[in-house]
This record gives sequence, structure tokens and C-alpha cells, in this order.
Amino acid sequence: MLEYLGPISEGIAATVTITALAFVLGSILGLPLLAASRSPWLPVRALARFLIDLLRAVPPIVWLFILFFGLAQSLVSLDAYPAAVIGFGCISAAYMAEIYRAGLLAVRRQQWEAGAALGLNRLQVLRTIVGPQAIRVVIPGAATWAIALLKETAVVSVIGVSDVTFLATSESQRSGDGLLIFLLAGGIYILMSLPLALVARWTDARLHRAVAL
Amino acid sequence: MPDRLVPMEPEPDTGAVPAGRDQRPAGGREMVRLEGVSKELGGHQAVRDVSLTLEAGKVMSIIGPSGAGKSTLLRCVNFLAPPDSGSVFVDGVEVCADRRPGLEPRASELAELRRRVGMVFQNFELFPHLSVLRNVTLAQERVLKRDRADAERRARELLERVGLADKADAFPAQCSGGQQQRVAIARALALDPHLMLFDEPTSALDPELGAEVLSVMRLLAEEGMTMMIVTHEMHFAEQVSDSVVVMHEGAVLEEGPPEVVFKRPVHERTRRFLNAVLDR
Repeated sequence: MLEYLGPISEGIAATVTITALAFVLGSILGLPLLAASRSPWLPVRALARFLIDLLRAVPPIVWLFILFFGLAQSLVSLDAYPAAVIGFGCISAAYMAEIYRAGLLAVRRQQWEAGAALGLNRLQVLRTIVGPQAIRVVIPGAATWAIALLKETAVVSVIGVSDVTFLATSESQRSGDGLLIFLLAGGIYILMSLPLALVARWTDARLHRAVAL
Repeated sequence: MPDRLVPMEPEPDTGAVPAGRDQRPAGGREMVRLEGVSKELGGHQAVRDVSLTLEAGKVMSIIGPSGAGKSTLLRCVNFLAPPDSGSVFVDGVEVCADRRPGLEPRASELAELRRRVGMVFQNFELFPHLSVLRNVTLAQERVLKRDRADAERRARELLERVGLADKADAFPAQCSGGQQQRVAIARALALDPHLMLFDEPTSALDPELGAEVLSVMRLLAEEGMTMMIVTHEMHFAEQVSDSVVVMHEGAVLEEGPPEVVFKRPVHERTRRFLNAVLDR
């Protein structure tokens, strides 16, 4: 068993870094996407909504093929790893924009008014009043997405990134012991997602105590 | 212990407050003037061409059946509900309404206006993620640029005056509705407004808790705060107000001193409304 575990676990680095980079990229890009989807100008709003829906509607594996086999081979040279990060980063941006939006909508409209009546500008209200309350709703949603993303990244193996799934596939082809190897790979995914789930629950519990709504 | 909610004269430790804002307005000076204020909400004319004036230190109650546009009118005063037309003058600042893109009042104009106006909401609208003390200090620091120590000193003074000194470190959810509303009053007063707007401040409270809030408002009125109050508390309106405005279908139906409006109303519609709310 250990002779399989060694080679497979070398893929953990790729799985974890692609997940982390894509999640961070998505968390950042999700903000302008959210702002655009709430813009007072209809064309901007429509474009943002279209992007969000498009990114979520097409399966990640198709996006990866478009990026890696389509764009990367014809227009710019792009390795499999950056293609995976960029692809999943953009998909994450769409999901995170929606998660942020749900957070904002969960805060009563009147909280904006109370802030405005005190003379705070919109950015100050967002930063000090609405944002901290929205975080409570954002964190469980973001954690769910992070865990889903961790598993979704398995498809990067088809464009040749040496992640857990890629190495498990090649190991099983080499040895022919598919069942044990993929059970081990599954175990590794569980071990990677558990800390995420625990951190999310812990943060959520703390915020619930601090923000008694 | 401070014995007033409203500072009498400039306090040495609130140096961050712009000069001239702390002097109590002299009686007879015009504090509020609404001219031709109209506001449509959801295809319905909520406020129709309302013009009103209120002198410094006076208390105006706005009464009338629900849906008459009372709350919307109040929200027009600080542009939480930007009027479609008309102008709002408060304490030397005049803002003209215009909803056309590019011609709307500038953010700086609204900031100037809101600096002079405090507001208390029906559902308190305290910030649930912040302690009571932080609720009262936040805007002092961000809007008036007071430092933390000055803001906390002012907040604790006001909390003591509304009877909640011991709740400073509690969170809003740990306070009763009446306590939350008194915190909300302290939060608004902390910015030294020259006009206070009250939007049905006791409607979400049972009568006993409402009484706590009314007694704080009575105190405030006695100290000379200029107040506009949307209320269904007719006895309070009768006792505390200098003038009573009756609204119906977005317009001012009649206006006058409480002894006239309550005892000898001119309009049949006012009589019917008063009969309905007083004979209960």
C-alpha cells in the first residue's frame, strides 16, 4: 500500500496549490464582478450577469479544454498548470460573486439607511456595517465552494497536470491495482477537505457568537 | 454626571466639532423649511407638494392614517428617500431635489445636510455586530473625526442620560426593544444634530417599553431640541408638540397647535381620524 501512497501523494501539492490559487483569484475577481452585477448602468449589469451565468453553466472540463487545447495552442502559449489556475480562477470568480451577493442581500436594507442617516458614505457603510454582517453568510458559502473546488480540480488531470488524480491514474495503469489506488486517492481528498470544513465551522460558530443577529 | 442630552455650549473636549455647531439655536430662527416636496414611490404619489416650516427648538408631530406619506415625508428631509421635486432647507443648508441623472444633489451636499439631522427608526436599526458603545462611537469617529477617547466619553455620557450606562458593553440583541431604541437615540445625538427625526419610534414596542422611549424624547424636547416626530402616540403628540401636522394621501390636510388640531380640527377627515384613534 505504501508503495502506492508515496507516488500519489506527490500530487497533493498540485491539487492544493491549484485549489488555493484559484480560490484566491476567484475571491478577488468576484468583487469587481459583484460590483458590476449591481451597477446602475444596464449594459454593465447585463454583461456581468451574462459572464456569471456563462462561467457557471459550462462544465469546468470544457473550459479547461477551451483554454488549453483551444486558446493556448493557437493564440498564446500556456502550460497546463497556469491554464488550470486561470480556468478555475474564473469559474470561482463567478461563484464567489454570487456568494458575495447572497451575503449582501442577507443584510437588511435598513442597515444601509441607518448608516447613511448617520452621515457615513456608502463605502464606510459597506466596510463597517454591512460587510461585517454579510461575512457571516459569505463564509459558509465560500467554504462549500472551496471544498467543491478541491474535488473539481481533479479534471486538471486530463490536460496533464500531475495532481492526485493524474498520478493515481498513471499508478493504476502501471500496476493494474485500480481499486486500492483510487481508494487511497479518495482518502487523500477527504483528508484535504476535512480541515477546510473544520475551519469553516469554527469560524462560523465564532461569528455567530460575535454577531448575534 | 451630565444633566443634559443636548450640550448647552461648546464643550472643551469636543474640539473636532466645527465651530458654531454647538451653540443652541436661538428661538424664532427657522430650522426646517420644506418647499413643494413631492415623492413618488412605486407608481404611487406618496408625498404631494408639501411645504412646511419649523422654528429652532420646536417640536412638530406628524399624524394621520397609515399610507398617508408621513414616514416618506420624514425620509425626504434627510434624503433617505430623495424627493422628486421641491427643496429641503435645514439649519442653513438647502438641498434642491432633482432626480435627473447628473443633476442629482451632490454627495457633499447630502453629507452637509445629514450632519445636521439625526434620525431614529421604527425598528431601531442598531448595528447588531457592534457593542452598544461602538454603535454610539462609530459615526463620531468616522464622520466627525473625533478620536476614540472623546467619542467614548460622549457615548458614555449619553448612555447614562438615557439610563443605559450599564449596557455599554452589551450587544443590541441582549437589550430589550425599549433599551435598543434609547441606544438609537443616543447614537443619533452623539453627532450633535440640530434636528432630530423620529419615525414611529414606539410603534415596534409594547406600551411599557414605549414609555421609556417617550420619556427620553420628552426630556429632549424640554432641552430645546428641534424635533419632527411621526407618531401614533396621540397623547404624547398633544402634550409635547408645538405644532401638529395631519397628513392624508400624501398631502398636508391641516396644521396647527395641538390644542386646535386635537380639539377643534377644521377638516372632516381629521375628525374621523382622531375619533378612530382616540376613542379606543
